Amino acid sequence: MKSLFQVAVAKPERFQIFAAAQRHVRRLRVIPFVLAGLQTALVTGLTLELNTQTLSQAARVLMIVSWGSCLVFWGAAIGAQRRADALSREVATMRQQADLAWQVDELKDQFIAAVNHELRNPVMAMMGYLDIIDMSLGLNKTERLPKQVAAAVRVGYGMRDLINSILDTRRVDQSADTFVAEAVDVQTALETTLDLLGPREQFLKGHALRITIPVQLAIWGEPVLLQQILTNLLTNAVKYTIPGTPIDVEARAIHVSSRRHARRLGESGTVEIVVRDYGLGIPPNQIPLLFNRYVRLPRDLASRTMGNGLGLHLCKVLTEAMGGRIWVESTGISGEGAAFHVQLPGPPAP
Amino acid sequence: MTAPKTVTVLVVDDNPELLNVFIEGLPLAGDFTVLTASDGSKGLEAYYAHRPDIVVIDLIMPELNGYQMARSLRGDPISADVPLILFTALPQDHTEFASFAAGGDQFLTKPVIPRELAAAINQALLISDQERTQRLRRLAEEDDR
Repeated sequence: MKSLFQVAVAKPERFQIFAAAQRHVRRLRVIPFVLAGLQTALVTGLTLELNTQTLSQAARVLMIVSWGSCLVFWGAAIGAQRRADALSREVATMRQQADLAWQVDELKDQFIAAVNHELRNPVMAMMGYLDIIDMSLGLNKTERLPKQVAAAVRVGYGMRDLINSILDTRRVDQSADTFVAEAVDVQTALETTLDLLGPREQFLKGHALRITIPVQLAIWGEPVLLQQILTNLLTNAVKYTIPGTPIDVEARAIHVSSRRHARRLGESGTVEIVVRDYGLGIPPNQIPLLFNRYVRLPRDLASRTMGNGLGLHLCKVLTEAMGGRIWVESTGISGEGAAFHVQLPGPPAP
Repeated sequence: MTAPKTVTVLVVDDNPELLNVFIEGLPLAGDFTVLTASDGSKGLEAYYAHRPDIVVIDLIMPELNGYQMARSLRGDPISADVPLILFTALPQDHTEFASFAAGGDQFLTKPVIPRELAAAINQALLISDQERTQRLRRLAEEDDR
């Protein structure tokens, strides 16, 4: 298990919120005492400076009130101190709970890695024996067996892909942001992605692909990461759309209305890529969970559609690693489908 | 016309099932004679006893692990030039780089089927010393960046 120090070094943002809370508690502890001290000093100074014998009745009353207010201030400061102590204890408890949650998260990652490792050898043995059977049948073919062996080999490859994607996700989670950004032409990235997905007609399964991408539109990121995002979004679109409906891929340079998001993306402008299908859509109440790891819609769990619930999580991690954001718009009405939006920074001005 | 030479392959892995797969599968995938060993020390013994044409080594093994075995082979003038393929069931961020740095010519991630290993063996047999040195230098430069 990683020590907290290692977690803090690897993920400093996890600790920033507690550091901020502790700073706030320190201020809460110190400021009332400083104010009470200043007031007491002021009133003491005035008392020493003035000759109380010659003061008018009103001035004496005022002096007494001033001393009284000093007492009130000290009382308030002590009260604030107690509240600060309580808050401090609360922050410490929350931090302990968060530490525990993070350690459990690390443990879970290590468990996934261990299971992954343990699965690879038996899967390899099984695929190896199937390969031997396949090669042996190649020497002495029978009518019926090759089809079944081919099916078993296909299942074996499916298992291998699943094992690899689980490990890839874990590795991407840990190191997605270690890349050198460059200008990536969106049209070229899409074409490369489609080439990698195999023969286009076979991949698209009869769906028309309608592409609207301005010439020379580029993002500022990493080509392979963008290709992985497009691969997952296109594969999902094909998987979940209704037969005979088209799939749209649109991209455009956009003006960012949110100042905060504009600051995050820098002054370089933003590119939005939208992959839209006309399938069953996603029920709005299930959208918030969609980008989490291993999440599949209840409807898909009960269907024949294969998936491991990692594709969209990968898209999110990769998009955020390049300084962008991803979201989905869907009414959940069959035929209206879903539109996945990816906003990424554009290249910096020359 | 001379008949193509049979390639002797030494596969070192602590999983007996996988060794069996390669004993049976590699001869079907090409002209291979397969020798096996179940850990790095036995792998070294088998290498010096039989002098195979190529060695395939699993990275995670008891006793002497795959990196140590590869470094031992590369460190000895007798075995320094033998083509090496390293493979693992636990690929991590620097595994591939570490495999090449230890002297591997090819790096594979399990599961690997006999035909894929046969293809990798044929490819590794073609790698020259010069290419090996160049690749290592390039990897080191990329890692520095």
